[in-house]
Amino acid sequence: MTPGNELFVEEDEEMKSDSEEPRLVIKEEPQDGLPAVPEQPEEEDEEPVHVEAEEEDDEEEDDDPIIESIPLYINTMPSRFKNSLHILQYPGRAKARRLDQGHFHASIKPQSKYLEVKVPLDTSKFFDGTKVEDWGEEIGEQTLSGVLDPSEGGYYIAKVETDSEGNRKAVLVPIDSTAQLRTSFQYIDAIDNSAHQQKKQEQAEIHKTTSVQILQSAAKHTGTQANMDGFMHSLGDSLKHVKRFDEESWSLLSWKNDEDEITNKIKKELINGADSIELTTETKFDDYIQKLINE
Amino acid sequence: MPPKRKASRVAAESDEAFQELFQPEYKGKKLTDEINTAEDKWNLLPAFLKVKGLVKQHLDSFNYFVDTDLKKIIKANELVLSDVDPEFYLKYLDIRVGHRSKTPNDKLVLMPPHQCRLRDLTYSAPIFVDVEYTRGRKIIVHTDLEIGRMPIMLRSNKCILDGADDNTMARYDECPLDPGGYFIVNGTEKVILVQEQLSKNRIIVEADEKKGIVQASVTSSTHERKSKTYVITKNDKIYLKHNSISEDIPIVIILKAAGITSDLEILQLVCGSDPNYQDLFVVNFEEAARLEVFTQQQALNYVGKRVKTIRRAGAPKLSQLQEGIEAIATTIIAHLTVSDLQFKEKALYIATMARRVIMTMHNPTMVDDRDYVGNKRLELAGQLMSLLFEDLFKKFNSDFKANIDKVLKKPSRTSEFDALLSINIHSNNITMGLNRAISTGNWSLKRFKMERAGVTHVLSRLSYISALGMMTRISSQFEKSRKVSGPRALQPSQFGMLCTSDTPEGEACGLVKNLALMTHITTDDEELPIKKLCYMLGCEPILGVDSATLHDEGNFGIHVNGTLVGTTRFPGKFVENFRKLRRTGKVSAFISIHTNTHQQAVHIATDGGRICRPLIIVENGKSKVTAEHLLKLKKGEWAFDDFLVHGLVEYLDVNEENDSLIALYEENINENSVPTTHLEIEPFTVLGAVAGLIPYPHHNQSPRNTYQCAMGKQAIGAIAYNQFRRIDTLLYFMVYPQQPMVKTKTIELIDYDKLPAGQNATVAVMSYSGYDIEDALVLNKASIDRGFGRCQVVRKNTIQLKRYPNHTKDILSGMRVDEHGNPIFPHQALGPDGLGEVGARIENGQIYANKFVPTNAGESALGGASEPTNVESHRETPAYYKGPEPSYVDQVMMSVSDNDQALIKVLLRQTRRPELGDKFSSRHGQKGVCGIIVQQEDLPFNDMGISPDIIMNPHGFPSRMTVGKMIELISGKAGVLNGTLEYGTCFGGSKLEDMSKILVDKGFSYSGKDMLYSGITGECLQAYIFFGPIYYQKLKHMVLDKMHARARGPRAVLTRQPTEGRSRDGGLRLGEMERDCVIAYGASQLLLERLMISSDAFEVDICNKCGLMGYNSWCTTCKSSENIIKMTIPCAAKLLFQELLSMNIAPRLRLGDVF
Repeated sequence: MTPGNELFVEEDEEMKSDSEEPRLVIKEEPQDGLPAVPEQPEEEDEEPVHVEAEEEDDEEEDDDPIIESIPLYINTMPSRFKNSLHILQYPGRAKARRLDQGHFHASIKPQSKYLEVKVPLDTSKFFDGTKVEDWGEEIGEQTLSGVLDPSEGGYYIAKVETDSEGNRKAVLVPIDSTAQLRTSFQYIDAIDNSAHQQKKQEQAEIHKTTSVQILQSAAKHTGTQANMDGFMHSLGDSLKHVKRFDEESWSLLSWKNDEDEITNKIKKELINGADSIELTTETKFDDYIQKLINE
Repeated sequence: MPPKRKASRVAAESDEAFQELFQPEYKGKKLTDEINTAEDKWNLLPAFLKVKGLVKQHLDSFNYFVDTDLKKIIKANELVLSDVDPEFYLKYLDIRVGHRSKTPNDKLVLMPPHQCRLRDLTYSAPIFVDVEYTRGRKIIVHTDLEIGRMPIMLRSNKCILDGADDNTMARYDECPLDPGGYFIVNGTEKVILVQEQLSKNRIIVEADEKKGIVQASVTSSTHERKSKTYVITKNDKIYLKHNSISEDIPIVIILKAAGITSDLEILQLVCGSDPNYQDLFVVNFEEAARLEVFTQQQALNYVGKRVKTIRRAGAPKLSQLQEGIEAIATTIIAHLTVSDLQFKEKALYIATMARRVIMTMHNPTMVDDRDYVGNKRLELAGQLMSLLFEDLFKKFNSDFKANIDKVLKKPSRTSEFDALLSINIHSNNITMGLNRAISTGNWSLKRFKMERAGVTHVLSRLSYISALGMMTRISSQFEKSRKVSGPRALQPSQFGMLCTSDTPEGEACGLVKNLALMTHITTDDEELPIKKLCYMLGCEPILGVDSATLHDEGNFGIHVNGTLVGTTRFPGKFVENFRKLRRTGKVSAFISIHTNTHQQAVHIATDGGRICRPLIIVENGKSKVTAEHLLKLKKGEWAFDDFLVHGLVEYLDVNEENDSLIALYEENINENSVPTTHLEIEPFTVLGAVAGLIPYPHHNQSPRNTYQCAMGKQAIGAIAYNQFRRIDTLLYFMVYPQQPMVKTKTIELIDYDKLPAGQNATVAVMSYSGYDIEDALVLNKASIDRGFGRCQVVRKNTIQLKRYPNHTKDILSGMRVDEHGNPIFPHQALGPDGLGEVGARIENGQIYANKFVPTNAGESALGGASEPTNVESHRETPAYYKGPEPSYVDQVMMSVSDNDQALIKVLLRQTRRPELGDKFSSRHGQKGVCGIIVQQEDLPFNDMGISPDIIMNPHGFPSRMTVGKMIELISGKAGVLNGTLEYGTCFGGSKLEDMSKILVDKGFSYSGKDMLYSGITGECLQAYIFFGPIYYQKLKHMVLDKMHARARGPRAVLTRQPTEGRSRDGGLRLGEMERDCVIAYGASQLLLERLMISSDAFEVDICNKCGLMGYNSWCTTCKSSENIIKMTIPCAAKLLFQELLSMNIAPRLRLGDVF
């Protein structure tokens, strides 16, 4: 992954001792960047900036001094029911290739937590035009898909803002999930499937003409109505999920670009819309650890 | 007072054996004495043993099983559904052993264990479950339903002896020193030996350099299945191999099937950016391209096509794609089960395996060592019981389900069906299954298709030490016949974990090991909170890490129980923080963490079966345990756990030990570039309980210590405080056991001084009489008269009085008398009740139980109903005593076993004084038999008139190099003169200089040599004699049990040759080699006599005409007696001819004249 223009913080804001004020200790200079935008996934290739909330001030070592303390604010998406915030990662995609050109399509299977993004394909470079003939289809889009992994409160995006008076503040927004999007080659599978189907059909036709009819004389199965359920019973967990995934239909999302008005509005809201209550923690460090261990 | 402290107080009060620890004076130290940390830190050891005990590993494991694991098993199999009625269900809510739900603290009073021993019963507690089920339309909750009985490990928290003080123990007829940790099944004490095996769910990389094969394998073990996955090289290409896949799958295809579709990402995951690895790996892409596998679906189809499917009845047929998904999700690397669509963790695991293979291909030194103790896990009683119980519980449930289905299938039932009515039918299965497995040692688990024999052993009660030795024993799963030296060799990583000396000789050498004195074996800990903790400590979750940076320089993977959960760029800080949390008690003390720089990984282990040991933490060049802490320990304010809680002491397992620098002594602590991190508590804890008996073992040649470990278990001594209440098959007691003059700290810790096995003999090292060659000993007759080496042998004889179906039963009957009214000879020991009288002398051929069996026992009760036979006729079946020496009836016990049949045990006792040929040994692997018993007046004596109990030949020393024995003599002599008991603790003990000083002060030679006078001539001997006390053990091998001779006697029925073996009064065989000697010597008549005349001579009639054998001077083939010749041949030869005839081969004899 390449360093992008995003910033993400990987610390839980609760992770502070009781006495002290919440603060961020910046070890690496944060790069100015834009937070991710809800439901409008965009480029987010980032170098994780280590913004560590130190829990033990007294035992701070000499080689790791506190440079500056910045108050923390927490904010959430404007409407939690409608919007959610995700980090999208594009493994295998060069940093240089921006994601803001062309038209993007995104769709999601919310039950299976599966996201698909269709990205326009640059066919001018590293593209074997002759293969297209084999595949017999004009391939204009690259399909990227991946599972949304819930981040379970571990990931936040943060933006360090400097206001007019030079006071800095860091705004934290929790992330719902992360997803690594990988290319899927559905067009190859489609060809395979159709070939397979064709073969089957041919075979079935041959079969029909030659086969003798066999009369089955087996007794009726007990509990046919349980079979529906029984079928699900006997499938493995993973296969059940696959089955559910196949049955679920895609719901389309609209893709907004960086410069989009709505995007900017939400970004602003995220940064400034915080209730401007400085975060202090009441959870004692010991309690926190205890909670963690006993869960 | 905080509750915890209070609890430890209560425990302390209950354990009186350690009370003396808290007395103002302990082991010669007063509370006011100055405390020297370097010297006194060993006090942590008794404190450790107080909490942990010697068999704590067994108890911990069993407690974990009954308290935690049972609940997990119930949870995993909680539902019983019916195939017939979709409405019906039964759900297990909870499970308990030994107490009911309402009274969680009141244990049910079980039958005391000693009664179980005596009455041949099983010491067990009921298993209660709470269930919720449907009856018709109602849902019913039923609590405290008994589903069987669980054998209880003695002194576990379910045992009535748990926390019992000495008085309570005495009330239950138990020995307070008995360690527990075993089961009593059908009256026999059974131990489940600790089993050692390769760790589960970890990657092990091995290489065969000759064949150029590298393989990474992982044995996945979950509750449901056990399987092994390999990543191997074949012609420099990498494949994945699994038993349920018919052919090896190229690694790239399997990774694609697991969702890593792009070649770039595969390369990044496996090789990182290292060009060496990349070069090695690229060929694999060609393989996948050649097979035209590009997409995940294609890869899944490829895998699915090759899966060997075992379809259970009723399971739907899966498509190829589904088979592939199923294989990736559940079959391959089964311990990581994927239940949703995210296959990344699985892909990463496979990629990690491939990476390890690549690393080993590039650098062959990256292989793992199978024999390294850190790669081993110990399987204890609890784990084995849990495997067994889950199997039985599943069987129980499926039987129950079958039963319900049978009833529910009936269309019309007269009454509402209550499922619980039929559950009790099967409860015997669990009880019987557990009992059978423990009593036979055959662990057969259907779900793993596992058959293991010899898991349990009868607890050896030869002496206290042999029982202790058995409890700490570890047996390896390796085959004894394989000729590999690796698994048998002493591993450096064994230090402090497994005893370096205690291993048997011969075929099991190095495969059977023993735990060291201060060890703990972990039980399973929850993994999930640890994972969360890792994330909080700055570990990046693996799902968010991108493949390009995964193997970056300085990026360390964090593995929890072998599975990659995240990465960190600050491994040092991470590990330090984690350890800090552990030291403050936030995380379980038994979770280990260590960094492996070669693999760029941090490994956290929470699994059970790791051996670990406590060490003192050293920070900034200072031991954290100081004098004040030790003072608190001495005053009894602190227990061992307080040291743990305060972060002064921590447990390290073998892997973490490798991450630390441990100072042996306080003066070795340094603060150089590699600072010391830990300090040993006591160096003598490298030895185990049995090797700890040896005084000055660090002065001995090492094999001698090993020999002593084997012999210490054969020494006759005190067994337990309840030894005279025991009725065991065979027990040996020493009549006057003494605690050794030269003891060790281990001896005190394991209470060997309270239950010793041996006596302090005054030994003169000199030559005497010539009857002392080959290590034979000369014994003093007067010493024997005074009771030296005297022992008692008690043997149990069991008689059962059976009842038969036709209401007849076995009876006992009184003695028979002769014409004078005296009992006949065989009945002389009997009382009027037909049993031997206690105290009566019983000789060979006499009867100790006059039992009668009904003659009509086989007749059915129904048939005989027509004519009531009130006259019961009985046949005599008395129990005869057989033995060269008479015995005395010691105890007679009458009881009723669990099937309501009378059980009689007669205990017969012999008192034996040492005789020629009895075996003795010192504690230094120096064994010898008694060669001669000499009158005291003929023995040499010193100025004070002391004559030796034993004379030992000095030739025993030079080749054996047992210097420890010599020092034992000097220390013992100094102790006798000084009135003290001296210490011969390993790497310490009383100093030789001090001992010599005492000797000189008392007017003896510093060297331990005395001037002796000959007992025969009265002259002074020409040399000074090394003379003093040495602790001698009498071993169980005694002449009386082995002596055997035969002139004439029984013969085998078939061959008519003399029988074999002492027990059958057999002959002594002139074997093949002896025969060769006689042939070579030309002693043909002797040969004839030995092989035929004295053995199985047989006179046959041979027909010289047909060459076959006839009888009564008549040839049945020729129908004549004309050519019959009588001759003598071995019966075996005759038998051979007859057997040949029976298979249609006619051996014909042609006889000719010799002269």
